[in-house]
Amino acid sequence: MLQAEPFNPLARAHRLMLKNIGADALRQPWLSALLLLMFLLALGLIGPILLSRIAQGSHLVELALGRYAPVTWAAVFILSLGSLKPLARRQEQAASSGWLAALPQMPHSARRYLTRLLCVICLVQVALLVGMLLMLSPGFSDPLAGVHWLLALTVPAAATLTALHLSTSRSLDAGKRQGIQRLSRRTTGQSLAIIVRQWQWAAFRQVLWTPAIRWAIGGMLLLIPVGASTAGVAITLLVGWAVFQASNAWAAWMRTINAASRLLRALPTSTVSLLWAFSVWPFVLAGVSGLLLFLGLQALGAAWPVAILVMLLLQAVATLILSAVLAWRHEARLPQWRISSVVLIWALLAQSFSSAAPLVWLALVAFLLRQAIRR
Amino acid sequence: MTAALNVECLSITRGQRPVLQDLHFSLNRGEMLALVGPNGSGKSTLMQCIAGLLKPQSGRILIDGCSLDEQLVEARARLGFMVSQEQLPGLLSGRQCLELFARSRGLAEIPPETLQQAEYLGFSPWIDKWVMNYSLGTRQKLSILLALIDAPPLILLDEPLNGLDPVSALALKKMLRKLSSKQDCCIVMATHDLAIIEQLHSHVIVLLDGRIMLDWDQARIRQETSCRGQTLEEVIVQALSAT
Repeated sequence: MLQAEPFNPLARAHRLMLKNIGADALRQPWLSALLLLMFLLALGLIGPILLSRIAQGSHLVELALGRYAPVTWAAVFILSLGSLKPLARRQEQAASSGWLAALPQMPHSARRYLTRLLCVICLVQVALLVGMLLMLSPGFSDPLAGVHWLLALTVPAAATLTALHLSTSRSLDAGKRQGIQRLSRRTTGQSLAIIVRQWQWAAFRQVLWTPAIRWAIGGMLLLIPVGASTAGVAITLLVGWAVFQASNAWAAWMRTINAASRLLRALPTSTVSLLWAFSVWPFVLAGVSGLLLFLGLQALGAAWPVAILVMLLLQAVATLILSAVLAWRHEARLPQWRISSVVLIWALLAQSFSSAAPLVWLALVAFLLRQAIRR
Repeated sequence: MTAALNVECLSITRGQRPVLQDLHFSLNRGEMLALVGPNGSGKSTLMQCIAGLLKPQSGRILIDGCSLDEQLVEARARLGFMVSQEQLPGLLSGRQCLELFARSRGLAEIPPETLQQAEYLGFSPWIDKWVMNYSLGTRQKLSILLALIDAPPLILLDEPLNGLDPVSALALKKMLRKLSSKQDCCIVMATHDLAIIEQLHSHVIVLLDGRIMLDWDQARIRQETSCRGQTLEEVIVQALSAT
């Protein structure tokens, strides 16, 4: 006889939140709905375009699975674990000290929910992994022959089990607490401009090595063609890493502006001086990355460095101004859509250049994905 | 008669620092305990231990006869815990939160008494709005209502009067008195408001550095205040100042 599923407050709470978000999205004004639609469309289009471009030029999957199978599967395990562990930790913490923690069903219900959630994500990862391997290896007779089939199933499963096991670890909490204490000691007695810069730097350091970055670096390996020299591989990885971190830093600094608007509004500091304090890092980043991009593209003999450079700078300035102005008007949710819309326009313009580098596309996808995850 | 709450030899340490040291006390149904003490004296830690959110290094807690160690589910089913208001989920409405807690207690829907209490506290106009739009006081009301759902034998309230307007505060005091006298609930309330203890509580415990400094029931409160010719507030402040 089938037994009725016991009530799970955590699962119910998450379902209700999703329902509320969906209902709220339908109630948004038409401009926001249009932006959301464009955002989802871009996400749906850019992925296949990027993958098909990679598939045309790269044979890395064949090489990796044929020659360096243990390293490849170890990398898959690390990437999978890196994306699952933070989720598992967040859920575990919510179950042990969150708003539902004192209910009779806890922590058993939370553990059950987390196990199911990770199992679903594991299945999705297996499907994506198999799909990607088949798609990215045209001409390769069977990339998942023999033991690879088994590994494609067991490696994400092993990562899921490890993430479940690691979710109860306490050492990470202690590390975060110490970091905050160190920051608060450093910022005592400093001027506002220095505090703001240290705040932005701390915000960037918090997202320096996130699961999204790990996945992006993993995905970047696919761009390296077969037979590339060691120097070529190193330069590709270095440039890719710099692009991702620049995007990361940008997003982190935009978030600090939003947070600051709530915290510093009551201070008798002029908006201009605050804006200036918050703009130093973003402008340094825009300047340095713009210069490097310009020099790099010129060295490659590309005919379109100026257009890309202008777009990058325009995006930087527009994002900063929009974010700052909107943040000071206390509309913290809007800047993210504005950033997305600016990036979308950038993507559409970049698409018109047939020679746009895949790296630019990858950076854009990473940025959009992060926006989506944050939403 | 089984005590609503029995705390035996409870000790808890954080790092090297003892937060609670060898606490003993017991409360019967219908009693209202005021847990008093300076900041950092261990009031909130004690509440979290009783709710089973923190595991003590030693000692035992029985809620309505059920041990937190051995019968966690049964013990928690007899407990209403006031969620700290910053933990409330911004993306749910007050009604959804109440419905979730009601269903966790085995009820099909929000009990009419809870809706009545929401009306009484002035929470009804906010009940269908998202929690992220609530003011501090409105969040506090929701936290209180979540703890009171289905009138469990033991209710833990951590500074429930914080942020409440005078009308809501008076309504809450009346509600708590009714819950304790008519529905036989035992209420533990951590508070800094010494003035209300005499009119509301039947039992007071003063914590200092994780130890029980005073543990007086109603008879002892009466005796101490009449002997000294002082209000309870004055007696407690005097005792705390002397240390």
